[in-house]
Amino acid sequence: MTVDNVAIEQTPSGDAECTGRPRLAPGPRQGVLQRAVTARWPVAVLFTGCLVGVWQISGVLGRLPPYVLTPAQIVGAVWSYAVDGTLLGATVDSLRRLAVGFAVGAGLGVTVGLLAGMMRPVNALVSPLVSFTFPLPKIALFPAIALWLGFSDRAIGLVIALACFYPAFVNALAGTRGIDPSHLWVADNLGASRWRVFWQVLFPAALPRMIVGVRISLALAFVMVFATEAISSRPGLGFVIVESYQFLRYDRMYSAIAVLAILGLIADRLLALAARRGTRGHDIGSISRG
Amino acid sequence: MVHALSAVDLDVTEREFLTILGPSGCGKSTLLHIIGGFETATDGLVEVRGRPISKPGRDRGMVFQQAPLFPWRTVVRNVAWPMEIAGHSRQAALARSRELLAMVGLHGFDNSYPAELSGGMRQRACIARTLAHEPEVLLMDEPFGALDALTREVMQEELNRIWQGAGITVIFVTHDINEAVFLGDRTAVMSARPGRILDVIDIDLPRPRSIEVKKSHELLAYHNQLWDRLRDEVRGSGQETHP
Repeated sequence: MTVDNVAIEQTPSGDAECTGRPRLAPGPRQGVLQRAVTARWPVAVLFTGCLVGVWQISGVLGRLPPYVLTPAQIVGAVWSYAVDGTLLGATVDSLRRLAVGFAVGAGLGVTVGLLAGMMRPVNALVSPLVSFTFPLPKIALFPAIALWLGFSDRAIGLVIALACFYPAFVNALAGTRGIDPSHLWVADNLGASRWRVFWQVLFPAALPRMIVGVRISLALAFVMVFATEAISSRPGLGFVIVESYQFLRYDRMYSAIAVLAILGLIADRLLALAARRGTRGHDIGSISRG
Repeated sequence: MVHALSAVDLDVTEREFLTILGPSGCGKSTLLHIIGGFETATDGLVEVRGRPISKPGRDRGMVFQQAPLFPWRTVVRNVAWPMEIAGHSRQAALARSRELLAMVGLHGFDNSYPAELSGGMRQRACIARTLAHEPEVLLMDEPFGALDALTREVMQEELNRIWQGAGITVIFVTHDINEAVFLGDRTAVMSARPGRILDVIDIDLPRPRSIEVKKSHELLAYHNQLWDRLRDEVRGSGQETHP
């Protein structure tokens, strides 16, 4: 076998070290067609499109039970209940509780988790309590909290916050705990202040794990907002779903489900987008390792 | 407690390249960590220019084996970090960082993330970062130990060049005899645990040292001399260490 005229992109440093550099963004030379082939989203869109298509066609052909609406019917329902104001009011109510509960719960979880990760006494104080109460489904506390606060927005916000606290806490703690000690040695060597070590070493190092926790918290917040509204009959998307079910108004039920799903998707995407900047270097790491 | 080191006496001259050679587990890294201030000796004294050492400081720059760059920062911002801490403006820190990166042969990788670099390139960046806080002594703890053999050869020559350009004192720990001879002005040979200095040998090879030096008979002679000195230690500690 002969190898002839093999070219390899030379690294600027001039030696033949292999960089293993992953291609992150498609280069400018790549054509639109090629990008469409290499990108994953067209496949996903096509697949989802096919599923929705099958669903729609089965509905039109009358193969679905009457309580399963077709996608077109759901879109129509969302439109009509959006126009008459039912969904708008419910969405605002639910989002308000969700935002407050999530912000308080996840915010506290991350803060306490970081503190516990950095200071042993805090960890010794908080961790046993957390592991003891972690397995309890927080929704089970809702009636108990309602005895105290009534079936109010404050009670709902509190239960959502409780549920959001745990994943945020556990992951923020794990993120700070899992820091590479040599990163701290470097900071020691340079005489970095505690403040700087926190913001420029610990925080960015723990960030990917923290984001994982916060995303789980967000998903839980959606679960909790539905559950609390369903139990308490406070107006909101969760209540609209349960009430519509009881009154056999399936189009209304599906419209609220659809709105909840879309809100969840948007919230998660926004969070992922906000996180991307901080985790860029980490992400490359996981790609090249993978 | 492990008795890692006993009675180590070493004087390092300014701008000298001292290599410390010893079998695995002899405590040579511990010695370097004590000099760096990361560990405290139970007894004895380390002084840099007459100042006793008790904790890490910017006068000594440690280059770790695992090349710990911050994965969330680009290479140029990693190297700029020591200067940011020192209070330089971001602009000035980045400008100096680019100079240092060019010096260690990483020109063009300023905006790459560490994960996009090879092991050798990461260690180059770490050397640049350590030089960025202008230490008086560079402490290198088997910095090329994790690299493949070919890259290691290249890095040794590069370090020779960088050291001569920077005019800095280096203490370099290794268990590779050829590396110790090729790099060092002097080589301190350590015994098996508890480590003590068996010998300090002057390496009288011409500088600048190139690949020619590596192939020379003189280097081989030093190699054999050191290996003879070490063989019993490696055997004695019951460990298999390839020279």
